[in-house]
Amino acid sequence: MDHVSRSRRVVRELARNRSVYLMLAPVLAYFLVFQYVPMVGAVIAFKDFNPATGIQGSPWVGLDWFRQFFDSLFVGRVIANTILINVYDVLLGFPAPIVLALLLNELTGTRFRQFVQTVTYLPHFISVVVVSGMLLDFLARDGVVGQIVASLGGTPQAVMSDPDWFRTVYVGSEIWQSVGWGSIIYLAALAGINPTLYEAARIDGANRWQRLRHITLPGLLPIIATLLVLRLGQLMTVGFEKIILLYNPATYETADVISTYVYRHGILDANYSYAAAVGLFNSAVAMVLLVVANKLSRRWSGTSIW
Amino acid sequence: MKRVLFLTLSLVTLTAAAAPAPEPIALPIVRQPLHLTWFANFNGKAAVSLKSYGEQSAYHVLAERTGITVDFRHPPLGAERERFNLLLVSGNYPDVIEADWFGYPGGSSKALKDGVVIPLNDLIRRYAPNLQALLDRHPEVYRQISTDDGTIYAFPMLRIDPQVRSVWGPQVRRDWLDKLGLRQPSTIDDWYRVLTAFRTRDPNGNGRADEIPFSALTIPGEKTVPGLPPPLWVFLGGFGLAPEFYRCGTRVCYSPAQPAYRDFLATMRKWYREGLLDPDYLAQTERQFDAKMTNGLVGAYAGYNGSGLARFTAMNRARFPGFKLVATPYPLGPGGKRYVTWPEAGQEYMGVGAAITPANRHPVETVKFLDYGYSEAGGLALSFGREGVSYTMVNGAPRYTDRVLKNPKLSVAEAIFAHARPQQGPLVQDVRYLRQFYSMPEQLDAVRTWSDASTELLLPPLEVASADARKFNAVMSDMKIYVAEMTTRFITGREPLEHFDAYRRKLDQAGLPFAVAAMQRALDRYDSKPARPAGEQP
Amino acid sequence: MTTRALSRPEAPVRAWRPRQGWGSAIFDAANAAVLLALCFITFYPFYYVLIASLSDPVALMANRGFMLLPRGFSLEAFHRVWDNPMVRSGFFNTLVIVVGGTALNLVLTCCGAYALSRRRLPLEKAFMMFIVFTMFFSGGLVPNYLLVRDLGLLNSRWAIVLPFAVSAWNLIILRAAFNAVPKDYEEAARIDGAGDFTILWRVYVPLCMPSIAVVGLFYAVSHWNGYFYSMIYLSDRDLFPIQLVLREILVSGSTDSMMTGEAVGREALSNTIKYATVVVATIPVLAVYPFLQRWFVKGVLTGGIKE
Repeated sequence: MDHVSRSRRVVRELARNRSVYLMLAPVLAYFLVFQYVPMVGAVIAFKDFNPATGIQGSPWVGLDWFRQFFDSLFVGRVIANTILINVYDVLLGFPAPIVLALLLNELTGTRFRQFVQTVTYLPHFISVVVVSGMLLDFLARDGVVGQIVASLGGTPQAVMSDPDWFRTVYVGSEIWQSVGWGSIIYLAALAGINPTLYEAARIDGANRWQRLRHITLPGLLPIIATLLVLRLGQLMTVGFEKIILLYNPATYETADVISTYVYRHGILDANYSYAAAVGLFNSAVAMVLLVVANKLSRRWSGTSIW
Repeated sequence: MKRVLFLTLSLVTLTAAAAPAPEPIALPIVRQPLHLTWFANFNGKAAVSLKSYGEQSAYHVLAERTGITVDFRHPPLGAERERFNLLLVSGNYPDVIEADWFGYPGGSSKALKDGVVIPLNDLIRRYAPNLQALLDRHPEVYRQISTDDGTIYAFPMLRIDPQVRSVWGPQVRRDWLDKLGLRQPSTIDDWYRVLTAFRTRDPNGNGRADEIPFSALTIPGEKTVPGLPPPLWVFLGGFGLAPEFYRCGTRVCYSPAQPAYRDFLATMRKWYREGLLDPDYLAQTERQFDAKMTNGLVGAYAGYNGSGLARFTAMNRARFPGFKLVATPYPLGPGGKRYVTWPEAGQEYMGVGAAITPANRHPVETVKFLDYGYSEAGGLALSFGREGVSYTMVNGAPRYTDRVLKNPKLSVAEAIFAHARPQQGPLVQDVRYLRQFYSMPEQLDAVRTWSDASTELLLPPLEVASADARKFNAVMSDMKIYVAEMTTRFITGREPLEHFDAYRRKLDQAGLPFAVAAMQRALDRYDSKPARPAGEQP
Repeated sequence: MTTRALSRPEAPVRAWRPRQGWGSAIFDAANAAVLLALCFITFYPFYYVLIASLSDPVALMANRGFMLLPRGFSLEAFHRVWDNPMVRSGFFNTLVIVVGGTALNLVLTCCGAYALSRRRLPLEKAFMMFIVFTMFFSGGLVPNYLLVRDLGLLNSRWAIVLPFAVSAWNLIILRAAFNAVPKDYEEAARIDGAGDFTILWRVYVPLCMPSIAVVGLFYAVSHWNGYFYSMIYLSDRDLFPIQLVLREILVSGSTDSMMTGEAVGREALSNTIKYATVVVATIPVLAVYPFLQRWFVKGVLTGGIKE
């Protein structure tokens, strides 16, 4: 008797939420078909994948690729570089759009504000090939930056051939390219904060900093927390395209990251299995990081992804 | 009677067995029009005016003559590697795949084993008289284009005439040499003296010591040697070395591991320290390099005959009258020989060829079509296009028309590609197309100068055995990074040369002996390959 | 969010402000200066690209470093880019993908975000993990290619749209925005007899317009900039989107061994063409962008719920 009524309850639940399930269905279907079905193919990380014989026809090699990765000469270095670049990027690049959004928020003239916004978004649209070309040009000894240094009495350095500069250049250019674009989302969040709170605060005599601390930041907290959690989950990811365009043998020691390392392997012998194996390792670590970050976020800010 | 019969039969047999002159293929090849699907990489120059090679005059001419039209399937530029691999994954093969078979995962023999391409020996023997005759004339070519067991898998793109292979080499500012009263550098020591003079004696006459005696850059997409941009390869020859794996007698050696490499590094290090090598050589872009070349700053470098010598001369003539860039011979090595160190110069075949897939239902017609490219008429069409439109015969030799050489809207290369594919295949590169670009006497001199060196250090195109391939690639992948880094550090002075032995030991640790052994096996197999396809009578 | 997201953006109402002190004025001035400097730094490289594309090719080669004005003047590069027939078809293709793709994206993402923010769905946590998991693990290029092939989507625009119909990242963001809307709105609407679809369309969409606009913009720009998957899935050159066309132009500009001593200008042109392609690829977005600003920069919102 009991489980019959329970199942009837479930059916009633389903019926009541019918439209919601209907809304969710296509989304879940998308993830199932276009994300989970291909995910099965990640099994090539444990096989010696040969394009002509296909996934089924390729032989198993177990953990060989993982072993090869961890045995390689440079594994420690590429992992360290990946993490270091990411840490710099999070420490400097994560707050930057927030700060920009806050500064923009303080502007009173809408014209100037819109002008600044439009201009700061520009770099986001320029392709990485062009940005790299510009960096190499500007940072050359006889480039723009070099000329400025020379005119100030210094000697221009070949910055792009110096491994000690690489992270700075990379993270700096990342910030340059994304600070404006990244601020959009914070601006949208700021637009959603109730202005009557600000009015009330002003009437109470709160100054700019107090308004920031007690109204603005708490208002932004959920979105900041969400984005931070997502960002931390990507601590092991550094896009390879830009680094490939910027590095050279003189800067390998700080520039070579996991993705470039694997990319070269892929080019050398079309080794999709190897790329898949390292990718799997990367993803596993990222997932762990995300779960941890999510837990911490839930405890400290009340916002979490699940 | 019996004797007469015997004699007649012998005569007939002998006549038949003696390599006959290539019989012309009966044209048209098919009575009903035939379409072949064909995968090939496209080319940026062609993309300016065409959507596919099928639109070229050359292929129109071929279609008219043979009745076979080609439907090209081109991957987008920049995605060639991925699309080739995905093509294999999809299993949906076109009739013909034109690709670099050395780059097939596991090597060309694996491509045969995997059933991606079909063996061609028999078909060539029966239906491809032009190619067969060519192979008979050039046993070296047969060795290069076949797998270890002698199977031919593709119709190759060949560069047989040594002149089409002498397109790259060291170049120096002749006017600066003259101004300073110097001779062309011939040995490494000569180079040192000349470069130092460039640096210290202000040949560009502007009162500033801003000359860059020797400059270099790495062009993305070109063959790379770890740690050394192509222009520095010329100096390897001066130490009896060639880039990466090279031939030392019957053996294979790896130059970054040789003792002579240490001497090479020491010299380069000295030059770098004294400002004789461009300090930007590692990271500069083409634009920067071009800017230096067109501002009268660079004394010497190494590059192509066309895009280097001719282009820079043209660009500088206006602003710097008297600008004279000439080709210099490769430096003299130990033993008094000059060595060519441009790896392509030693290879008639580089792995690129058109192969037939099992999906092709007209292999015989396809073979005939491909063979036509090796005939006189076919080769002319593929290299020059349509007579009267893109070329005319002048004194029996083909010359591109003004529509190609002086097209107002297109560069020369783009105009050529609108009509023909002289650099690709499958065909034998016709030296006459290249000579048309050599409008300056310096260029013809260059060809002569650069050909006057030995290619004995260069290896023929070799493929490591399929079984060794994975490990070989894994070892080389890491080793290249290490070599590149250490070479750079030694040259720029970040690492003291005393550490060379430690570096050498690390190479062994990284698996160098295995790599060298694998290449050695490949060379041995190559050398012991029969000169003729199995089953042929000489 | 702990504050209330409100309805219809209205014109900013500047109420009486207490007089600002000196410190405040200094801050405002410093703020403006910093932002101006930022503008210069972000703008100059693009400006450089613009004037380089308008420069005379040979003069540009001789130039090194800082430029404030074009060196010489020449529209040749733009002529060449525009004359390329693929450029025009490229724009058309991209337009179709951007409009169609973004529309699909928004519909699905809004539905998904709404459904997952109801807090009454059993298994909601499981669904979230289901979705987030895909942000990290993927089969890679080969299995995705095989799927697209098996679905018969190869060489069609659908191959660029369907596999990217929902972005987990954007979904999470929008869901956060929907979560911030107080449940009172929903209850009020239900009392009026509205069903879930109506609530979504009439209540949540207007309320969360800024966030929806942001997410829509993210999707749109991602479609606009996309070239990689077009490179993989499309064979028909008529279907190439503009970024792929421009990328081909960039890639094909490098030098080769076939050159004569004449027609120098032609070769130098490849340099300015590179710059021209960047300008061509970016201008349309910049032209559209100011119109979109209105949705989330409008500022002060008034109205709300009476407690």
